[in-house]
Amino acid sequence: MRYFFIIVLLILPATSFAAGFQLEQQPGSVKVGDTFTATLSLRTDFDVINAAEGSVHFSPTLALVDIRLQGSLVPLWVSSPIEKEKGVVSFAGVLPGGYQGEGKIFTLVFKAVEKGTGRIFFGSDTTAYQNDGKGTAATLSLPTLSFSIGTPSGTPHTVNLEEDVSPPESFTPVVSSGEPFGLRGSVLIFTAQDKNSGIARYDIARSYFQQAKESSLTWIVTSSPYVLASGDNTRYLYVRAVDRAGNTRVEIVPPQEFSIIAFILAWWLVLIGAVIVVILLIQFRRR
Amino acid sequence: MRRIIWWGTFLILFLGIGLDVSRTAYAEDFTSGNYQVLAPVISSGGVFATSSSFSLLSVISEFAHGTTSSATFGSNPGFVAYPFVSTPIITATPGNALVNLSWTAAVGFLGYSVSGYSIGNSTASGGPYTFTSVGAVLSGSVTSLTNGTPYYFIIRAIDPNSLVIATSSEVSATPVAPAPTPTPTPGGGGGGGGGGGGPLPPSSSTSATFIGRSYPGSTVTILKDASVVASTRVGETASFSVMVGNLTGGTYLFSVYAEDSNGNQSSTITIPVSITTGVNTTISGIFLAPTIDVDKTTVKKGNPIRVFGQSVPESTVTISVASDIELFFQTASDKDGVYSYSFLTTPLEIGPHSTHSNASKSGEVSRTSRTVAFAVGNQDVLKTKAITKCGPRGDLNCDGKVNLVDFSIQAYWYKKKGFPIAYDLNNDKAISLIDFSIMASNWTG
Repeated sequence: MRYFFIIVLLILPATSFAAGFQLEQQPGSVKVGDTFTATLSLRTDFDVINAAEGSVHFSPTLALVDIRLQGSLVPLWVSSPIEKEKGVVSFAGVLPGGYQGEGKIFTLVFKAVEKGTGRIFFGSDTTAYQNDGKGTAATLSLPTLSFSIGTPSGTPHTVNLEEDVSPPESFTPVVSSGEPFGLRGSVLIFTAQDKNSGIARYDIARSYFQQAKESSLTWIVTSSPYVLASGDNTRYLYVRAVDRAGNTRVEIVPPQEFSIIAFILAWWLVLIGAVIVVILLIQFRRR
Repeated sequence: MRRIIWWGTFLILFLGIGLDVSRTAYAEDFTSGNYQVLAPVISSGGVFATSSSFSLLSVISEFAHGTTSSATFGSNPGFVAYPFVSTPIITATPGNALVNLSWTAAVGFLGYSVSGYSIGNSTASGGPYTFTSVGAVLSGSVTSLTNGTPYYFIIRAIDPNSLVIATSSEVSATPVAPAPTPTPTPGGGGGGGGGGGGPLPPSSSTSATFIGRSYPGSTVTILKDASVVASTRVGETASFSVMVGNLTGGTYLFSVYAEDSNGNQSSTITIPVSITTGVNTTISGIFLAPTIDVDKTTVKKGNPIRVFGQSVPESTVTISVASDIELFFQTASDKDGVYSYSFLTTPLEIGPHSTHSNASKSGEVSRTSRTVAFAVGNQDVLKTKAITKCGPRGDLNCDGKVNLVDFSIQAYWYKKKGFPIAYDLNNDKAISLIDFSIMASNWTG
């Protein structure tokens, strides 16, 4: 058995990686009470990568403060990075068309809460897929960050977290058949992107008016696909994407069908004006 | 004693294989469609060899890729292969008395390796340039420039022997002084369509211009964060320049691909671009890889198979065929960018194979094309275009496109049961990220 391990160790250096994740810690030295960042990046050599998923684990000596997507290569998250269970951040994202080069995936902000060793490492479920039309898993290098956490001295280090004040990116909700989702009728599909803190939730509201005030609408939390209820087709649908910092982006879907009620409600002022004009004309003619 | 000898031999063997110390280098027999090279010899590094454990007495070959200096002969050491380095795509964003540059990695294949980059800077188009070495990074700034003066930049990729192995095309940018804070004026027309924001003059609108080469008659599509933002029809020269306006400052992932006159899509080039509010960012030197297809899905061993597609007109197209021993062929595209090459499949073993290509012209090299599969078997089966109303694999709602709607459908079924069988793109009875990967490889936006 001893010899087996020797052999394995000798073989290991010959393994070549076509792509890899990288973890970069900033700053390098950490003491209890310090806040610091660990940036997860992707680096490819010959491989073109178009999807990545997995988990980042961290030791109990660390507490997760925030997850930032600023500058991320990933435009579409199947599962945005989130601490699903204590000490584990899971993620799954897609890079349509594939990417060759290097770039940031996301940044984790930690606070050192305990003296000892800090460890940040990848779970065995971490995989990246090649853009070869077959979803072939790339041979990945998955480094581990290991560092000592010293006793506190002086003012703890803080990370200057830029407040996320940007709304989610503009997006286009699409009315589509519910069949691909196994649903009856029509559905509204939407996917928004947020460059900083990530999308937290979607809200939907209905109105006969195109220029309705956001605050005057009745919003309900929803998700894509949203099944269009009776009456939705004849009203303006307002879809609101809310990021984790509370910034919002509202997109409006015009009515899909003509409705006399909607028409009257939208044009009631004009209609009343027209009726008055007609009455006045009739009166004028009679005289 | 026998055990000690046995394990000693084992250790030496694995030390040789496993550790990154001196290893035995050897070449394998090479077989082309029309000749064989038996017992080839790898040429050693000559003046570039630095080992102290051997001496090289003589060599008749190129010392290293790109070191042949004669203009009257070509040198192919050992066997025919076509090493290349993809040309960096360069992005220039003007600032106050500076220009920020970023570029895509130059990727070396079949022997080339990139160890760093240098930035060339000139006030005249075409140079001469003043070069500054910046190391193995993919961005840099050129400072102390004069606002209002156009500057021209190129990027050189350098190998570990300090040789220049790739040079980008030129990109121009004019540094600008920061615009004075506009004083609000009542009324204020505006003009120029859409967009909101402050009344910035058209010259300082936030935009990105994509400059590159495709194929005559092709359609070039630009995606921003996976959604189509522009497309253009390319003329006879195959050059294109597309401006995307109405942008806001931030980092975006732009992708560029082309569709040739036969409806075949190129591989996609994806470039992260940092957009600065109020200025135009130029992304130059986009050299789209050729489209590629084959005339047979299965070819009888020994019969010819034709590889064809479209590329930049009158470019050199290198075709690579993956098999136990990788085969390489070179051909040229015609004035319409069309290339076609037939080769005998005698050296290919029975079973599945694939092929891809890349193009080069005027010292610039494209990325690699998409990969097309074929098989070598016992009979010829001609490839026919499947007549279907649906688009490529991943077009789940059959609207001819692979885009956010399909992504939404796939995301809905992710890790769920009861999905329609057609959505399981790799037939593993689950909707996993592999299905998203297959969808992403056919993305049209």
